[in-house]
Amino acid sequence: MRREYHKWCSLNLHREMELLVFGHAGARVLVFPTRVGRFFDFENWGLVNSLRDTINAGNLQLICIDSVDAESLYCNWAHPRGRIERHQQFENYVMQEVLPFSESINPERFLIAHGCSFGAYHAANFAFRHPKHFHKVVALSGRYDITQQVEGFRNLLDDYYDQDVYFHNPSHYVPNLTDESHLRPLREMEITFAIGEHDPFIANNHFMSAILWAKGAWNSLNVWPGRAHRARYWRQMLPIYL
Amino acid sequence: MFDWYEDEVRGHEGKLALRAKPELRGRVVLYGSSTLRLWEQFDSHFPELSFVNLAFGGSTLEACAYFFERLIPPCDPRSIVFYAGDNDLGDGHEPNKVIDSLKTLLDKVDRAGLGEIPFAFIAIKPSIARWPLRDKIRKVNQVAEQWMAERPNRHYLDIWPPMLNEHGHPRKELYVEDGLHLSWDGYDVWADVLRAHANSIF
Repeated sequence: MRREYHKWCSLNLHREMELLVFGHAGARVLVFPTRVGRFFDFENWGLVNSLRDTINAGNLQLICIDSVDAESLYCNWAHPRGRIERHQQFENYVMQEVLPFSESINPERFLIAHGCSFGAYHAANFAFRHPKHFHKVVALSGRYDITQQVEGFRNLLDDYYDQDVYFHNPSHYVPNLTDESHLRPLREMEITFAIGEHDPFIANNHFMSAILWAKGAWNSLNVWPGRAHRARYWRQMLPIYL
Repeated sequence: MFDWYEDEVRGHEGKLALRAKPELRGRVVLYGSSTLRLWEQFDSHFPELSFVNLAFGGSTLEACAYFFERLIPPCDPRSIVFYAGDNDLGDGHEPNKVIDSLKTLLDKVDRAGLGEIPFAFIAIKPSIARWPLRDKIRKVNQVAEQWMAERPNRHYLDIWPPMLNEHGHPRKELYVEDGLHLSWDGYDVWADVLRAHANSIF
């Protein structure tokens, strides 16, 4: 399997950002790490290996990017406005730097957003905000409302709310989408959620699925036994859904 | 291995014992998994048809082949409408294993002296719940379609085109909440497909 390490200084984030590419061809998969995770987690947790055959066959190419969660939505000491601004910079980095880089090494147009746990939030949020770029999203064990406190998972903006928070919170902006030029590609997208039946965010997954259906956006919500919020479950889910 | 289905199969056997009268033989048999078993309004869709529904819940194509001799030959069916394979793939079986089970079943149909009656294979359906498995489903369907084309009395019923929306995804209204089993609208679509082949499969 081809494995490449890349690093450059991001103009949007003003810091060096690293990523790993696995595979030589096929649909491009933008892989977001879990909460405050790193670009190498996907490989270290055996998730790349779970897709080995598909990658080696040239059907998938993974682009495992780094996160700046510790500087953005999980930067607890920063003012929430600063958190969401940093998060927006991360989005700019992905859209303006990572995607062009990905296109430069692989001409395949088909682009998939994928992530587990908080990576699923990123994947869904990117795909729903930029449906013209993404053709498929596979979001495993995710939350899609960053302002909701559920069990020990807090409101990531500490009750702060503004327009940028709204537009990065899929549970809030998706129900209000009306622009057909945005909805049309969203309806063409293949959207897959998977979540454990005892995962604290299962209600939010059902909600997200329902509001997408209400918008005419096809999606598949797959409920797994138990909490299913560990790499060993994701290793089983990935070959099925990706 | 197939103990899980035993109670339901015994129930069907009891039903058949009651029906072992000459006038109750020679019916169309519905055989396969829960998607067929749950087709409760089949008699409304085909009021003119004498049929018996011997499908059993959650069954795999492998289980259908296993129980075939106990359920189908005693009916002396006039034709067989078959649906299974969905659960095999859902259980993680590879297409080749499902195809092997289909071959076993078709061999058993022949050995039971039923090789000349109409046998209709309903394509494994596209569903929301198993959409990620669609490539495997297509692979099984492709082989089934080829095999059905080998004999004039065998028929492949392609329910895919009417079950997909304009974007090529399964239509939500055709499924109940689990995204797997069919709603009434879903069975209406299937009935239309069966009706289109009625002269040859019933």
